[in-house]
Formats: sequence, structure tokens, C-alpha cells
Amino acid sequence: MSIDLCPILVTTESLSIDSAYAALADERAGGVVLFVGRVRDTHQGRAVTAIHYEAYLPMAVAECERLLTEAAAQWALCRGVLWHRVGRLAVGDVSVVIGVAAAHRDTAFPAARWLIDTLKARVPIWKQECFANGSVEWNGPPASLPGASVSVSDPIRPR
Amino acid sequence: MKLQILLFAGLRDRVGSASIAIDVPEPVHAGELLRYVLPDSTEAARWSSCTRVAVNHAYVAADYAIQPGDEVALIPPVAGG
Repeated sequence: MSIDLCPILVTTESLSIDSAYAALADERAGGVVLFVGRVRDTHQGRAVTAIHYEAYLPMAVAECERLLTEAAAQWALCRGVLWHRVGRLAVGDVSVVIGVAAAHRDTAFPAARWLIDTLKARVPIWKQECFANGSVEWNGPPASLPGASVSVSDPIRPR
Repeated sequence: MKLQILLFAGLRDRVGSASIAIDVPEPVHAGELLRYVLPDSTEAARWSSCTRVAVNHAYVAADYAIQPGDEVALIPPVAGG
């Protein structure tokens, strides 16, 4: 089955779930899975007011393209979207939209799950939590990662 | 070889700049770059345990030999989604 990949989006504009769903329209696809990630109001028990997302834009787009290509090699997908918003997002704002359209749900669900999990591990996008007390913190600085599993000598490979 | 290294997120804040120019002996490998960016070896080791190197918009292994003209970036732990 050929795959028609919709454009990757890494943008400061708000993400439209309706547009993502429309981009997944395909008569071969009987199953569509959409994952929508939103800004949560707490992080590790602390009240969050906003998240600032930053991207290494050209690589983020390139890595998202590789993710979709790898997913298409692993599952029979009809279409896929991988959209991420960057900049300052308020609680409740949509930060990420992952969508896949496939003939059947048995394909669509695992592909969507793999895409969001792998995006989080590989795509160069960072978030800085803005807490209600006025402090800001990058998610995942080295001090909070004793014995981190990812090292320079062991770049994450496609599964 | 003169290199311009792109920095992001917490590592950029630590260095205080979105990019840093370094002059390195050739050949230089991806896994060696952090020691030039962070001269303190303890701190460099701490960051290197969780930082990957990207060349021309793709991750590379530690033994990749940096070429003149490569776009080199240090990628601290990512947190999209």
C-alpha cells in the first residue's frame, strides 16, 4: 500500500484538529487514530501556567519526516500527520497532533503510539515549564537525569 | 578547524549563547565536542551522558569525524509532545 504523507508542521500557529483529520482523508482507510497532546496544569505536582516549546526547526522537520517514513515501513499506513506547535503555550493549548489513517485499527493504533513515543525520544523539541510561582525550568536537564540512558556514543536508532 | 556549534534549551542557557565558535584539531569526532564547549571535565561528562550530536540535521554516532562545512548541533534531552 502506498503512503501519502501529509506535510510535517512545526509551527508557532495554533494546531487545528479538524485540519489534521481532513488531511487524513483516504478512501482506503477504515481506521483513523488521532492523538492530541495538550499543556497540562501540573508538572510533578507543581502548578504550571504555561510551557515554552523550542525547536531546532530544520532538524525537527527532517526527523519527523524520518519518523513517518519509518512508520510507513513498519505498518501499512495510508496517511500520516505529525504536527507540533512551538512558542509559548497556555494550559489547555494543543501542543502536538499525531494522526494515522490505515485500513484497520490493528494497524492505526500501534503506529500512532509508536509515532508519539518516538517523537518524544528523538525529535529536537524542548519544553520549559513555567510554574505558578514564577520559576521556569527546562524539562530534562542533566541534573535530573542521573544515569541517563541516552549517550553521545549511542544515538537512538530506529526500532 | 574552526567550528560553529549550535546549542539549544538548557545547554544554550548554560553556555549563554545559541552558538559557540571553537577551534579544534583535526580530526575531531562528534563525541569529543562537548569537552570543547564545556571546559570543566566533570560538567562536560554530566552533559555528555544525556546529550546527542546532530550533523546536517541528523543524529550521528560518537565516532563520526566532523567535516568542514558540517552544520553541527548539540542536542540535550528532548522533550516534545
